[in-house]
Amino acid sequence: MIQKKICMLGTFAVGKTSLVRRFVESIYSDAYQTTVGVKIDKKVVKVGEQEMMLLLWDIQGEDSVQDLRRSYLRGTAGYLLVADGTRRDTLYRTRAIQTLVQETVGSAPFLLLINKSDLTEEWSLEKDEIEEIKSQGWQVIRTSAKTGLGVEEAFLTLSQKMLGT
Amino acid sequence: MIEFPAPICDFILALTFETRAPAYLLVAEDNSVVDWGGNLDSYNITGLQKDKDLDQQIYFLAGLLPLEDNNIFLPSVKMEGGLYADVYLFREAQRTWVLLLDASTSTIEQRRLQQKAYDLELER
Repeated sequence: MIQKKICMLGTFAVGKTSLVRRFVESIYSDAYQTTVGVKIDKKVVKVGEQEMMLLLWDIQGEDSVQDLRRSYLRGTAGYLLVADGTRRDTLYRTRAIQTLVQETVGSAPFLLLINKSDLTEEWSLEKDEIEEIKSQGWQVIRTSAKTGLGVEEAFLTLSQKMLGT
Repeated sequence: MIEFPAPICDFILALTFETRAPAYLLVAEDNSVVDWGGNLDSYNITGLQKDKDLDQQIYFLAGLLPLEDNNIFLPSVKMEGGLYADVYLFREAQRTWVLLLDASTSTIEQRRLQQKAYDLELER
């Protein structure tokens, strides 16, 4: 079976671990548990007639982009940049992370997930800011690890991109 | 390299074996697993088959090989059994050694401190 490595990237407490847990185990917890190092999960998905095993690298979110350990990125076939809609700074850090990933692994498919869609009344992002990012060619999906909104779509869309379908 | 007296080297070696559950794998150039040993059970790595592809046997190592010039260090990789491992990959001739050392104690402590720091930052 084809295996593809996906890295979950973003600053701390944006919901990377929660998104993986929602996707792999259909579980959500409100308690924030910081990740140290990396936790790797796997899940088989079907894209068209093609079965594929996704290897999900949930990487420790750093306060500073420079602290992201590049060795974790080795062999990445695609990545999900995660921002927290209630914390504007997390969106802008995804740009720096994307630049670093591109320098490290080259051009690989990615999506930007704006997480915590269940808290839109607390969002600090303006619609224009998201539109501006989209206009630069980034595909953006709103997600909520809490409700499951957009989660399956995000992983399947990235899977399709990795297969070039 | 700094030279140490033999008793110091022996002590460091004994300490590593006692506290860090070393385990290793040897991977051939064609990515097949040719040898293994040490405390692999501690990391829930079981049922290995000789000459079978690494990526099909140990999913967290999939896609990492072949190494080019540089060695790789993956700190604090959470294993299925719950331990954290520091994973080192380095070349010797045409083969790659994979070394796992238990990093649970330091990782759990780092996690405790990091959790406090991030909780405080999120409260601001």
